[in-house]
Amino acid sequence: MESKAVFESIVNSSHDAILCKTLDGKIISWNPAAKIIFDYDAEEVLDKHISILIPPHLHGEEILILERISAGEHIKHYETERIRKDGTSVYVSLTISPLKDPSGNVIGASKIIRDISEKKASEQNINNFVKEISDYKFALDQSAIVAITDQKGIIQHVNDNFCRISKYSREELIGRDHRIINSGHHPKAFIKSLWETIAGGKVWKGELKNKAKDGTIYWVDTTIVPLLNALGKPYQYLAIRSDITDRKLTEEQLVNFVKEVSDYKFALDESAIVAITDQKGIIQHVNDNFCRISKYGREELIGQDHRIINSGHHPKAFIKSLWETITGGKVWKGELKNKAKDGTIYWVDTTIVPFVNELGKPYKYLAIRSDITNRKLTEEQLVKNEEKFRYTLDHMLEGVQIHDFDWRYTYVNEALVKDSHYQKEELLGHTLMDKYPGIEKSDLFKVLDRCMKERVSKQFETKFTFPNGTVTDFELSIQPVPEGLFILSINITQRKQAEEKQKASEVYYHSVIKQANDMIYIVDGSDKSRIIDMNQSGCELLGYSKEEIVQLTTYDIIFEDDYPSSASRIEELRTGKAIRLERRLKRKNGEAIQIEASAKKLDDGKIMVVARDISERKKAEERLAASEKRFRTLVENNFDMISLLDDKLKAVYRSPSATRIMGWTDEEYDSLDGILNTHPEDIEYSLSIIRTAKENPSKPIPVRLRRQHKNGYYIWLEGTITNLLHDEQIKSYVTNFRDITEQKNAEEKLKLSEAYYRSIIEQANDMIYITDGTAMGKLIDINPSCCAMLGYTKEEFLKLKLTDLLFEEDLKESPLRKHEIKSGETTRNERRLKRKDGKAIETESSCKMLDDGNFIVFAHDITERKKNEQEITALNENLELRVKERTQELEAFSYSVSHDLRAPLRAVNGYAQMLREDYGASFDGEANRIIENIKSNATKMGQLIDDLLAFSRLGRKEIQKRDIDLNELLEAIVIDINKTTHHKAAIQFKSLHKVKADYGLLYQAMFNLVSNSIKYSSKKEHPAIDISSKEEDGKITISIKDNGAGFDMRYADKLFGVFQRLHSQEEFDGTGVGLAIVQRVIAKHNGKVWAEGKVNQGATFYISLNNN
Amino acid sequence: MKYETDILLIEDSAHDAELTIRALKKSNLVNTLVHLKNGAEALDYIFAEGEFSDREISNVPKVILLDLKMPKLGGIEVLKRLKSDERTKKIPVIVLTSSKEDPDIQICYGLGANSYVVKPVEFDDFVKAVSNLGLYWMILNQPPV
Repeated sequence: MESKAVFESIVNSSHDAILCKTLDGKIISWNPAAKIIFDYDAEEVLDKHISILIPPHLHGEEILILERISAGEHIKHYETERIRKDGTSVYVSLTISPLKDPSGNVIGASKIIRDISEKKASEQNINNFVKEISDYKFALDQSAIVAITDQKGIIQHVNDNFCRISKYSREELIGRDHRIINSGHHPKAFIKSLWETIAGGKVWKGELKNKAKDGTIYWVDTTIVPLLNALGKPYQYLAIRSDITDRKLTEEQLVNFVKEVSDYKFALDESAIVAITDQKGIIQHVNDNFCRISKYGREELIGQDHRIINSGHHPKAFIKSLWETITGGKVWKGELKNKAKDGTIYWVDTTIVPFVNELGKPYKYLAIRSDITNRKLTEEQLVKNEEKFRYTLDHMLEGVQIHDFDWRYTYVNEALVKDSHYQKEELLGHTLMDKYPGIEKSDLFKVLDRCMKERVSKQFETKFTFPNGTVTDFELSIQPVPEGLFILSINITQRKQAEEKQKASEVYYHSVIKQANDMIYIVDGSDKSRIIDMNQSGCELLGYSKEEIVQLTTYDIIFEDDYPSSASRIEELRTGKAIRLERRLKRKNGEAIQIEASAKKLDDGKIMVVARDISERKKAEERLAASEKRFRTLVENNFDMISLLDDKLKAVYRSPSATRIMGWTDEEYDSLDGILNTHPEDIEYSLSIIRTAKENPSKPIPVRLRRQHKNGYYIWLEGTITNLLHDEQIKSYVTNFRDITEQKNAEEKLKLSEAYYRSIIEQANDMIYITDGTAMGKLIDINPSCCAMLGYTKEEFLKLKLTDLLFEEDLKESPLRKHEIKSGETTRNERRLKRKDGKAIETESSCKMLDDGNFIVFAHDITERKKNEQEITALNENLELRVKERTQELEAFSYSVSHDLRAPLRAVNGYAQMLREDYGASFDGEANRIIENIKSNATKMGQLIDDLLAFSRLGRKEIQKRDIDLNELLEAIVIDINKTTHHKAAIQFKSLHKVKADYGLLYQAMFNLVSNSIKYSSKKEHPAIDISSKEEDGKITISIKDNGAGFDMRYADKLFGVFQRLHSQEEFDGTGVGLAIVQRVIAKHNGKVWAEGKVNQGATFYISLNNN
Repeated sequence: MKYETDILLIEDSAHDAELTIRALKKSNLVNTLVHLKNGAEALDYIFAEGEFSDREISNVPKVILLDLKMPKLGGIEVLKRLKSDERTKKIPVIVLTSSKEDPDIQICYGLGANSYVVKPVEFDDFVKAVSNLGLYWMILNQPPV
């Protein structure tokens, strides 16, 4: 029984429902868990059939279970459905075992029921989920293009759609790199960003252009989902695509279309004049071309009535019809005359397109125009021309007739009517055959007919017999015109008759001309002067054949240079005058022949020329003239005076220079006796010369003599006389003289000047000697001073050479500068010269090359000067030494003064102090004031001594310049001032220049100036000191400006004097040395210091320093 | 006779000496000050000669205040002797002068003077200058013994 109790407790505490039933299904036991699962109390179910727990559709199941149990079978984990008390179903797992009696017979069944509702529910969920997923997958597979790649992009899965669109088979894709479908369309950056997105575990969406196996392109809208592993890293990529190729293509087409449209618009805008108006004609849009042609600005047009460009040219009806067309929604085309802003007119070929709304009503008009102004103007011109033309026709002297294609007169002018033997009205509208019957059979008509039919022009002369039998000569010009045939007729009957007459006389003349030896030719009367005929002699002379010559004009046979004169002669001829002329003609081979000709106009207007070749004669004349001219030119332009004298010495020729030189005219000469105007001293000589010449024919005898000028003075003449009396051609003495007076004078002058200079040289105190230009420098002349100084006689001297006068050691130190001298320079030297006795003379010398290549030297004894110089140098050195000594003495003195003056002051001050310290308490106020005065005066005097010492020291101090940055200098000064002085001044300076100065001195000067400014502005509420600098012309100017007490400019010159003060001690404390120091410092720097100021309005001090 | 000396003042001017001593007194620095009135006397004292031959030479002063301008034997001579003698050359010597422009200052530095003080006319300044120096050399600067 114990085990039973244990068993029962197990049953009661089990979570599983445990129950027993009989083989017929009756429930015999029911544990608490059963109650929990099924909600029945034990009382409610015991002895009840098990079927109350089984849903009706599973009753069959129970029967089977019982059968199996009866057979002793165990049923384990049988999952089924049961119902609860409230009818709801519960999923359970049954484990059923047979209950056996002791004899082993099966009497019932024990049942363990476990509630598996939850498990079932979750299973159901999973199933649903799986189904859903597979639904999705199916849907996806059906609708989308799916591929899965591994993380490297190797394709692992593709669906059918993928294969279909990519045109690859599944086998070709799996295991391949996904790039197999890469189209190469997308830029690298795009692909890179895609990979970065998905490699980073993020979903990528976008549109991709892929390439199928056959190369076709397709667009896919793509979502790539990275499938992440536990670490959040993608291990696969799922790409879901949908085909958007069509959309993409449409898009591209759209883009192209839009582009095309805008291209059209662009083209239109570029080429045409475009305007858009609303339905009332108010301009809403114009393009640039519109503005250009209308000369309005766009702003002036938009919003305006379109009639702004109305020219008023078109009639109202025209405009009305235009509006009716376009308001009716129809396109209007036509030509419009418009007016631009400046009033000019332009024509436009216009198309107006109405834009209609849904009701078919226009709401806008688009006007497209093109500029046809030029064409229109041409047309207008044409019409005008036609009028002009008709007027001309009407009034022409020639007869004009126009026939239509049926030979009907459509136009005749007055002249034609006159010749036609009809009235105008009788002709117009009638045919040629009506008026002149039988004409159609004539040769004339054959020609006319051919012109009419073949549309050719023709020009000829014809005889026309009128119906009354009269015959008239006409020259006809026939021209096809659009209306038919145009015939111009000139009545030439009279001309013809004259021609006939002429012919007869021409025959006669021809034979005469032909035979003549002279050249005879005829030219026509035209401007060209065409050669009509030339006789044989003429042709031979010019070298042309007759056939050739009649092709030419007068201008072909004359030279271009002669054109103008020729033209003028032809003009003369036209007046009917016969002329004679000489001119050159041009042969066929280009040679010139000289002719003498006479020419005359003939009755028929032609010109006849009779010419003779005079080339040879001309040439001879020219040669003669040339030779004569040469000779004459030679003689007459000669400076020399040439004359020919006959055997009686009478001049038969004198060249013009004779008059030029001697002043006598030819006539005056003739009245002179050749001998008489010879200088009296030269007469005898002159006669002897003539004798010599006479005795020596052909030999030029040189002569030099004086003859008198017309003005009385004598001219020196030099030349020859040659006896050529025996020469048949000359028969005279030929004399040839040149004026040598100048030369003679120069010679005289030279002699004089030589004497003059020689005397200067001889008298000169300086040594003067001349050496030749050779390297040796031989001495060739010397003046007495030189001899005296050097101790040589002139004879001795002239045996020497230059180096004998110089010291060898000097030459080493300063060699001769021959090269410079030879280049024309005058050299200056200080050189010692060696006397004969070997002693040296100090000289200062200059040397110059003379024109003849010799060198002249002027030397000046400077021994004395040298000595003086040395003395001066010695004196100077001595002086410096003395100055130095003095300075040292002065320093010692200053030191003593400073020391010795200060010691008693110190005592005065010290004892006064002691007095105050030790006995001050027992003194009254007055006594203490006196002590204070003693002290302050002693202090003051100490300050004076210090300042004075500093001032005097400045005079001695050598300045040592260096670069000083004024900014740094002032910073140091301000720091030092602040240490010793209590002040409230705002001191400002920035970006100051650099200067070159002695640091110590400049420091002192600037310190004094700044302190000064501080002191004199200390009584202001806000003292301000501004320091600035500027650079100008290499100078730095520093200014120190304050807003203090200032000064009266009248005393400006006293500012910088020692102990000079413009303020009392009570106003401003001071010794009057500070600015004097500034002055001295700046003076030592060669700078300048000055000040500007006004009483109570501040002062500005300036320092200007050279910055080099 | 015992000559314990903290400060040796060598100064010919009685007035200046009095002022100096007074200044030093104000700084409580004159426990043992010896004032000598000229160079010769000073050397005798320092080297324990003549009048001071009974002095113990090893008993050197802690600092010497030396006026430069003295009759007969000047400050420079004294300094020269002091700085050229092994026994005395380590004694700090402060040169007293009337002007900072004194060219002898450079000579003194060259000879090994340790410092100098300008005797200002203004007594307060004088006191201040002397006190500062005395303080520095007496208290802060340990003599290199």
